[in-house]
Amino acid sequence: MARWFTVDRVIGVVLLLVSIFFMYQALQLQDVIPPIFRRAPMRLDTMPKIIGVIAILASLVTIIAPSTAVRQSVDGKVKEAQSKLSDLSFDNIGQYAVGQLAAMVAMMSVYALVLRPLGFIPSTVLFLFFGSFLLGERRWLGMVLVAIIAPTSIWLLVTYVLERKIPAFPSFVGF
Amino acid sequence: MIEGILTGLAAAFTIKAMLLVVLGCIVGSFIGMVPGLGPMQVIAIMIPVAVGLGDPSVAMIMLAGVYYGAVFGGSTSSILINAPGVASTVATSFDGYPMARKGLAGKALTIAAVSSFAGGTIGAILLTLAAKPLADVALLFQSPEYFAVMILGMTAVAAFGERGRAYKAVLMLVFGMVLASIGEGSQFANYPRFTFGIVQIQDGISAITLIMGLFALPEAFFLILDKNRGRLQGDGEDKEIKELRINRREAREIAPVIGRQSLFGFLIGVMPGAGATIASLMGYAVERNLAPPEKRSEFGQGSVRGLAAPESANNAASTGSFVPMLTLGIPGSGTTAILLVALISLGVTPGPALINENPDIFWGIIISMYFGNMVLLILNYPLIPYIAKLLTVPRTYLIPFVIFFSMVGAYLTSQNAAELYTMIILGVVTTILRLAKFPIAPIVIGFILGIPLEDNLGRALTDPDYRGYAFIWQRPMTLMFLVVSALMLVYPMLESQLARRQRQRVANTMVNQD
Repeated sequence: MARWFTVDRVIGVVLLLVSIFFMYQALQLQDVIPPIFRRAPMRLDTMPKIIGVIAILASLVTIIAPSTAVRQSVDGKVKEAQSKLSDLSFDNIGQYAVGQLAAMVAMMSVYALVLRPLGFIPSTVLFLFFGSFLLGERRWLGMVLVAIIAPTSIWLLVTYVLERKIPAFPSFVGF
Repeated sequence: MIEGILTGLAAAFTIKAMLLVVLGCIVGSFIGMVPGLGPMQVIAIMIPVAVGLGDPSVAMIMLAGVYYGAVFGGSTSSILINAPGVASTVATSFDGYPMARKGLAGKALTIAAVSSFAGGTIGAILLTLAAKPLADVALLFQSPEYFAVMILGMTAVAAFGERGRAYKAVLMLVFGMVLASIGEGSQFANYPRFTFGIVQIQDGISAITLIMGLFALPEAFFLILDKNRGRLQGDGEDKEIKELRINRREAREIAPVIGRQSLFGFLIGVMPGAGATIASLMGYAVERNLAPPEKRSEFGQGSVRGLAAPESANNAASTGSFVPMLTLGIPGSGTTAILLVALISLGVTPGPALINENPDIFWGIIISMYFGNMVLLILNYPLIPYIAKLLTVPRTYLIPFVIFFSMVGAYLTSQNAAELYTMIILGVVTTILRLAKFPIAPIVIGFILGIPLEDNLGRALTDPDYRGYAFIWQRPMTLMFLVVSALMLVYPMLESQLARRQRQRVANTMVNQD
């Protein structure tokens, strides 16, 4: 039974739930259609309903479809190529630095949060420094230099070449 | 056509445009060389810069330069370190890397550069010749044809997906359409759909945020997950690059290969869904079969033919994929989908009207292809010996920078921190989907075509000439496109079913064998 719950099927189930939710929302849309448009051949809920049906069907097929990959080896070379591209898969999730990724995602969220209040340069300096620290870099001088020079030059580029305004420092600094 | 070429020359041969093509090619080839970062990632990261430039024709010309540069950069890392950054240069490593191991790295890079140049240029010539007539035909299209052609484009993308896994691609396409229907997009919906009262997504998800979340972030996440991803996969020995010249005998050997594969590659590239990857793998296989027996055994051991074939085919195909993009506004590949996002972000409506309304963009892109190919040849030839050194950017710097560029890019174009959260969520979801081997490019294609598909369907349905869905069989071209799409979708599924049955039969006769 455990074999039945392949990654494909779990994702299929999740997407099926998403599709059903989408379909439900699409069906609710008819309440906002003004009465004169009720009988129009194209209403604002026509396409969402079509998409909803296809989404539900496609998720169902993903759930039902055979779990073993139908993969013919067309050519030994092609197969070798696929392994060379070494796209990661859930099969060896145990070998991956999942914790590090989670920490990075958390750090990105914090970066997004402080980007405006703290200003572009301070927040980016911190992000780049701790980003490389998280990934195991310990050559302090290089880390500090890169983390300071890169955001500053990019800020100058954005401000003077692309002529976009992004606040460089917290508002009390006045930049 | 002559007039168009002149317009293109005028657009592409300004100091600004030329400098930007050069810049685009440099940035593209340098970032494209980093294993893992392919054309899609590079273009995604560069879009905010392009949009910042403001002038659509100059911006598109620069992005086109980035694209050619990235394709070339991918070949370089395939040859030197056996690490193709993207699928389209995998075939390049079959013979390119063995040549490098034999001490012929310089020669291999030269053959790659020359074949890419020839493939790209022959592709550009074919595109120049075909663009105007095709755009003229496309102008005859009305909403029903558009609707049908978009369906065709979408199903082609699904059909060319992983064998026997077309339904996964369909699911991803529909998922993209679901994302597209958020907010006020369609002319048939003057009401924000599926926003749940969140003001920030009233205009829908920004396309730039989407591609950053779909392509740039997951690549960075993959680099974090797998420490060995993008590492030197070769034997680690420093391959000295000497003797860049190819001799007369080799030139004579690869010339016909380049000619054939440029033509085939272009034709494959024109078909939606079948892009540079299929062209390069097919080109490799075809040339191996065509080669005389004594040369055939060289394939895989460092054959010059085996290197020239995929290199000219993938470049010609990349050029060919511009045909549906420029004439119909329909992306045939992930890369052209991203270029369409750039075009839309610049305020230009893609479609058959492009050639008449924005001839400077249309022809500027085409002319910049000739120029870009030349720049790459001139630029990369003397730089080749130094290129190898650049392949070793420490991942501890590379990853934070890729993330930083994606986030700042999305932030710059929207000035909205909420977009950043959308992007992070999309990045995480996409990473999970990629780990589960779901194809990602169909999501963007569904996202881009979602609203136009709805608009055209709506226009066809409300057209007083037809009653409801009758347009489907009343217009022969529409019917033809739809029938072809249905066949494309059904055929691979049937094929995989048959293959399964056959394998089961084989398996039954071989029970207890393993």
